[in-house]
Amino acid sequence: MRQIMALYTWLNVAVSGIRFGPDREAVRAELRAHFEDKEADLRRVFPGIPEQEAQERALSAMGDAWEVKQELARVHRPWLGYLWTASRAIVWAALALVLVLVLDSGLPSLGERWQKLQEVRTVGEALYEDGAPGWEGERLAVLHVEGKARLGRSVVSATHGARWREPEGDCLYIRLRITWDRPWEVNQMAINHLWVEDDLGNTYEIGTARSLLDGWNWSQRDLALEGVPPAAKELRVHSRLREGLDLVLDLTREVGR
Amino acid sequence: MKKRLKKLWSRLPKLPRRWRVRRNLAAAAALGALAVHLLDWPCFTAYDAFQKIEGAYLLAPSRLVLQVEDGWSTGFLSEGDSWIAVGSATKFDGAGSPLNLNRYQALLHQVLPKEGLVAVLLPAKNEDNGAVAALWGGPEEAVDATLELGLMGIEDPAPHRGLPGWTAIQGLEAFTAQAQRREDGWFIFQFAPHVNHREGQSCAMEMLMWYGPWFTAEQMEQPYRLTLADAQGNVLAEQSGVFPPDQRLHIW
Repeated sequence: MRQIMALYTWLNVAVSGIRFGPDREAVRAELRAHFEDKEADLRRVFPGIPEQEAQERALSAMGDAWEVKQELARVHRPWLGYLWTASRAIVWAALALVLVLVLDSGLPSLGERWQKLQEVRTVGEALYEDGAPGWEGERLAVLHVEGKARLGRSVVSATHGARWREPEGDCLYIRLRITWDRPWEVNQMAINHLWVEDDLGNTYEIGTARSLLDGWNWSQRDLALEGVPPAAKELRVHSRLREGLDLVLDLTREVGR
Repeated sequence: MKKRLKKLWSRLPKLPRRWRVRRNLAAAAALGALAVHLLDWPCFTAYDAFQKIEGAYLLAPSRLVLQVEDGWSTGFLSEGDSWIAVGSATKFDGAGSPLNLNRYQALLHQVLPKEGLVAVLLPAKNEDNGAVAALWGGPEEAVDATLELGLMGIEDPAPHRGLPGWTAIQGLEAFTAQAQRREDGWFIFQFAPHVNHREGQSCAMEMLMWYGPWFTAEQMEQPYRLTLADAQGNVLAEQSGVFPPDQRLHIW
């Protein structure tokens, strides 16, 4: 009993310099495990040794508790421990907030979002690849129209193009995207304030679109430009609200039908 | 099962504490950004809301020329390389769910090319309950400007919310304000409403400014007459016009 009390006193002194509680308990457990190993070693080497003596010798082999305390206090910096605890609390709080917000608003719209993504993929495949269109029309040519231009804090780009013949007449589909540097400025109406001009001097308003999709910092549409003549070799995209958009799309590079 | 999982967890390689702190802080930052995104990037000031709508219509970066605070609404005038923008942000309280932190409704009333002479009416009233107008352009030597505003037939845009029994004078009311060119090239005109109206009649300017940002497009289009003069008082230019219509652009 006396030896157990001595061990507890030794451990209390040795770990008292560690200010971060969880570390203090972990080191205490480790030192205690050391003590038990030493005691077991002594019993193995000297099988007839009395238990009390084995414990006394094991404890004295652990060294001076005050020296151990100073060494441990020097090695264990409490601020890192506190920072770790705080960082864990912050992560859990942020996770809880996100969960509440997803349940509040995000979750019901996830299904719609998934449906919209599927729709845009299907429309994209039908317009520019080998998918089946869900409307009446015939694809005349797929065009390589890639281009992008910066306008202030946003980038306007085109990634796909295709000429189509539809019952209402010929039209040119362009996948146009606006990417904002600042995600909080995303606005699906911004595309409506662009207009297009071909090299023959014809102008086209942004009107109907086969698909519309918004991302975290972008908005994209598959726009239908009606009546773009086959003789038109390039398109220039302009903003109705400001000058300076220099986006030119080449209509001469056919890459398939 | 729980014990086995714990054992497996204890066997997994552990990052040093310093790296665990970094990992946690990075995860918290990512989750924080996601939370703000789910909150629809709330704006906490009227100017933030105005800047947000400017960026939304690709009108960034810009320079704020004038901000007119009108209690619950704020009017803004800004300029970019090739454009002039007039907007407003109106504060509303307690609307929506508790998780809706957005407290400002922003509108872009006009986006105009920076060409020739541009005169605009701000969608907020000044301290005298009068209108504020701004002018850009004109000959460089013009340092003084006089703006005459003729208001006629102003209707209460929301009579059910206005003061019962008060009507605006339906005849022509004229207002004049003078301004000097500022260092940034702008003239800012501060108008004051008339004070000598009969009981039960409201000055056309007060009626026009009553709902500031909620002008109907037609009410914004008011006729004006402008005179520009040089430092010696010689008249350099005279122009009559109509303030441009309200485009009412907002974020969808």
